[in-house]
Amino acid sequence: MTCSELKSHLVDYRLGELSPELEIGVNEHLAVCKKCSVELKQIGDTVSGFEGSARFKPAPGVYKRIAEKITVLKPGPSRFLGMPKSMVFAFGAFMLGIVLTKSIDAIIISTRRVSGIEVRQEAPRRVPFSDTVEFYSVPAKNLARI
Amino acid sequence: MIDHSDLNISGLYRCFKKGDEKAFEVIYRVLSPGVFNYSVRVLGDWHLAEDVLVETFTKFARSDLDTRGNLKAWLYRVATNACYSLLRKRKTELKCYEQQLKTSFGNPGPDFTKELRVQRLLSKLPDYQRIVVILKFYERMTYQEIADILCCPLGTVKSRMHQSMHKLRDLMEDRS
Repeated sequence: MTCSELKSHLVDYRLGELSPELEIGVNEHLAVCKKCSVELKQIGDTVSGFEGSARFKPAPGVYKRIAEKITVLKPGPSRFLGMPKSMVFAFGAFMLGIVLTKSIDAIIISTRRVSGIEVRQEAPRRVPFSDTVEFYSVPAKNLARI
Repeated sequence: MIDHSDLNISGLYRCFKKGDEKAFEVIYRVLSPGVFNYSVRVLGDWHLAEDVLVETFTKFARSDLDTRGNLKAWLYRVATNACYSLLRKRKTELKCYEQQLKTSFGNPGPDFTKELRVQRLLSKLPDYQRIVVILKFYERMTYQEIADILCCPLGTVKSRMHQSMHKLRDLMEDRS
């Protein structure tokens, strides 16, 4: 391990957070390098200034503030009777459409009956064969060529 | 009934997203002391740190995060960004709030004097160096975790740590 490699590990070494393999490498280097030993002592002095300093805890009322904010932001249940809300809405719109169509039909029929107009169900129209077949007419001058 | 003590942060977050509010409370109980202590150390102000904590956990609850990622790092990143934006707004030199420290410690004693000295030392460091020192010394994070939080390369974190150690040493020598 070189001096520059060691420098990046010195803080972790002082805090006791190095892996056993790296710790052995650092110990071996420190045993022979006086400059790095001095550096480690200086880092140790700096780190010891922070050791044992308090950890501040939030006041109990802070969670209440967060809980209130979350409750305000939280949307309602996204499901209704186990189905996604969008599906429930689409089904409702479809059913409403059917009901509306049927009721409009019923109103029209009842209005015609009142006015004396006979409502008859017409049989489907049969399409004659000639309507569906297309005939290509050939001009007389072209007939001679054929 | 789910036993929350067996779950990690990702598992608890999944439970919370399914509607289990108790899981969110457990996440808050586990992670809030660290985030709060970090915010107090960075800002040097109790009240602002509480605001940061509220903002961070509210965002956490609102967001739809991928539980495969590091949620703890995400929380610290959000707290860091909130601290940065508050520090930018103040635009004045960071001051240590002695009155707030006194309130926290009760009677001023040796602990109070030490805390005051530590906080004054931290406030002398530039923001980007102070954050690295706090995450390393107080939250005991690895350099890689710090790099993930700050979204910067590993080498940058190491060099910031190295610079801040030199600066802290100089400051301590000046004081003594």
